[in-house]
Amino acid sequence: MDVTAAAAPPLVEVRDLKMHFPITRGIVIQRRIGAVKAVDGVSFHLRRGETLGLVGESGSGKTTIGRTILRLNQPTAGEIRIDGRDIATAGQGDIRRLRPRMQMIFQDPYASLNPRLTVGTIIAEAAVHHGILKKRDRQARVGELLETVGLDPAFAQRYPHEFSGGQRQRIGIARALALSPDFIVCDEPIAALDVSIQAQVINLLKDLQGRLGLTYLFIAHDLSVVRHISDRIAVMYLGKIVEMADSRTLYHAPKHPYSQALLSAVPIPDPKVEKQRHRIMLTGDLPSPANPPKGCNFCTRCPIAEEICRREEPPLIDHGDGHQVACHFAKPDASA
Amino acid sequence: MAAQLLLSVDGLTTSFGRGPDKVRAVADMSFDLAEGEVLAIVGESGSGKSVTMRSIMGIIPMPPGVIESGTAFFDGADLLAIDEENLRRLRGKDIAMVFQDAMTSLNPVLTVGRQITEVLEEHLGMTGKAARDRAISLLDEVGIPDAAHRIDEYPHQFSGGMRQRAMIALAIACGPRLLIADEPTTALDVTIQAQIIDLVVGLQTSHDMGIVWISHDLGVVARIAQKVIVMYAGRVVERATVEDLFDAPAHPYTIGLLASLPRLDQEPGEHLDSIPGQPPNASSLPPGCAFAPRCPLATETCRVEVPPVITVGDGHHAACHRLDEVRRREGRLPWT
Repeated sequence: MDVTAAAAPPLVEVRDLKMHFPITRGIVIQRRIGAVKAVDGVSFHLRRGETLGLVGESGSGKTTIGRTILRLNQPTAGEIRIDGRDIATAGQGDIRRLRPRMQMIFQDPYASLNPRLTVGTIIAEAAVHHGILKKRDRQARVGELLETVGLDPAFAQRYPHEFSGGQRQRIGIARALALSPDFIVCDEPIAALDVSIQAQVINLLKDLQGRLGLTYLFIAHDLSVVRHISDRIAVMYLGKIVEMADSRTLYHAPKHPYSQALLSAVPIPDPKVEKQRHRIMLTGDLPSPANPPKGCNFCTRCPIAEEICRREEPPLIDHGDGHQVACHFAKPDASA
Repeated sequence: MAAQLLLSVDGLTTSFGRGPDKVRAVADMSFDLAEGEVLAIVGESGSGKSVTMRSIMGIIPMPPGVIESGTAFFDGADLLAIDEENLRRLRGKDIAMVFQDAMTSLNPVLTVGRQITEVLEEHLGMTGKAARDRAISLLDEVGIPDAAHRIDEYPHQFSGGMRQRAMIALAIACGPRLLIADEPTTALDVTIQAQIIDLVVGLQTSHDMGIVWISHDLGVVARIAQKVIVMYAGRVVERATVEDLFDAPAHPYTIGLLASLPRLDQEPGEHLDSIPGQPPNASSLPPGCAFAPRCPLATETCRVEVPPVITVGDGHHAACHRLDEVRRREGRLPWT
């Protein structure tokens, strides 16, 4: 990240975003009896050309954030700005005009490509629809995009079932690139791929970012991968960001007990390292987001929780250099 | 100290289908497992790791499956040759299996307690209060809180991690000497995965079980295994102690896999080494080494001749024509 980029206004700004899904009872007359607070007051920003990693366990709300930012969900409350323009309250027509600039890469390359369309149609469809791509330029552009993602341009005539998982994910990436987006939400883009294919796709995403100046929100549960690709990382727990910092700081000096436990739980492919590691074991499971605990969301599993944690929700506080932590007991930096 | 041999598999070959559609899922698989030893079988999807263990357990659907050849001696009996009646007596008592999806083992319409008392009755002749008390102590042993009450709940009332624990309680109910674990932590979040691994390692020590742990995750393998077998396209490509495998991998595929993994304990570089190409399709394997199309060292010999298994060191074997070249390059291969 160079100095000018850091000084520029952020490309994506999210402020106090809430996405609550209603729980209803009754078939004819539906009464609202509660809400699943999938995302509950989340704020962050992304600078142009940056990758923000979003990590958390299943049910933490990370996928919901990605979908809500692209307005695939109608947010309950909060602000979403992309390049200064408000997404959260924009009308359908405005959203449609903004869509080409923000795209998504999905987890399951088997479910996200229409099996009845040729690869060429899949890649070009949205761009033609948005008037970005003229029909007569279609073939050339599809060929160029296939080459960009490392596939043979002749594949345009084939159907998705003829490809392996890794190749399908490349097709999904080409489809996202067809609209020349600035911002891409990558939702677990390698989780469904074979181990030997994962590195190929990570390298491709990094390479494309460098060439095209893309901005990524990278959602994943695999912390080793997130660390490799992200400039900054936000750790989520039960709908809230509990810690956010640049990637180096988060891995070397995590302050939130949940981040510490999460990092210590990731297995490292080296038996000598594994033998000597100290692991923080969490007890129990993630509470239901329909019925989060009182006080700090993490208090039911936290190894250092005290009375105040069960009473008061800790605010997300900046500990310097953008290192934000939401914990009553987060200590200031040793150097500070 | 030479431990007693618990399971000895020799020349196992399993295929599916017949005639021109025949697919060989496992070819000439051999390994030994000593009492109380933890062996990991690693490989990508379709590498034959699950089919190997399912063949031994007699749970391959036949047809289309056919065990073409091989023996698997457990306690003096060849599991591939004994009749169904005797196999059933061993399964669930001396040999138990846990799966990725707990609902593969658990019956959704019976309480967790009933399922455990059922196997206690079937294999150990325990009934009534004795069986129920034993079931409670088993649930307690696998870390299910309030076991005396939860024993009367149904599997759907358990969370994912708790279900995995219940399945493990069921597996160890009759004190098996061999536990086959087929990716039992793959679907779990990392903090829950760490709990389950700890649990299994603890049980392994206290019950002195032999374990065959099937996984695609080299981090998990580094944590739990003593010996490792790496499979590719139905064949063993390398076998070694866990230390040797991670310290001095000999087969180019193993070297490539380890090099392509981003590691949490290392500073991320710009680019990951990655194995080019795609895993082969089992129905159209090349005539020689299945890894040759992706191997940076492959020669004409590799493309036409199946490589022999060569001894690299004490208990360390690899199936590769180019081991001298790997050694000359000190394991640094020209990946893309």
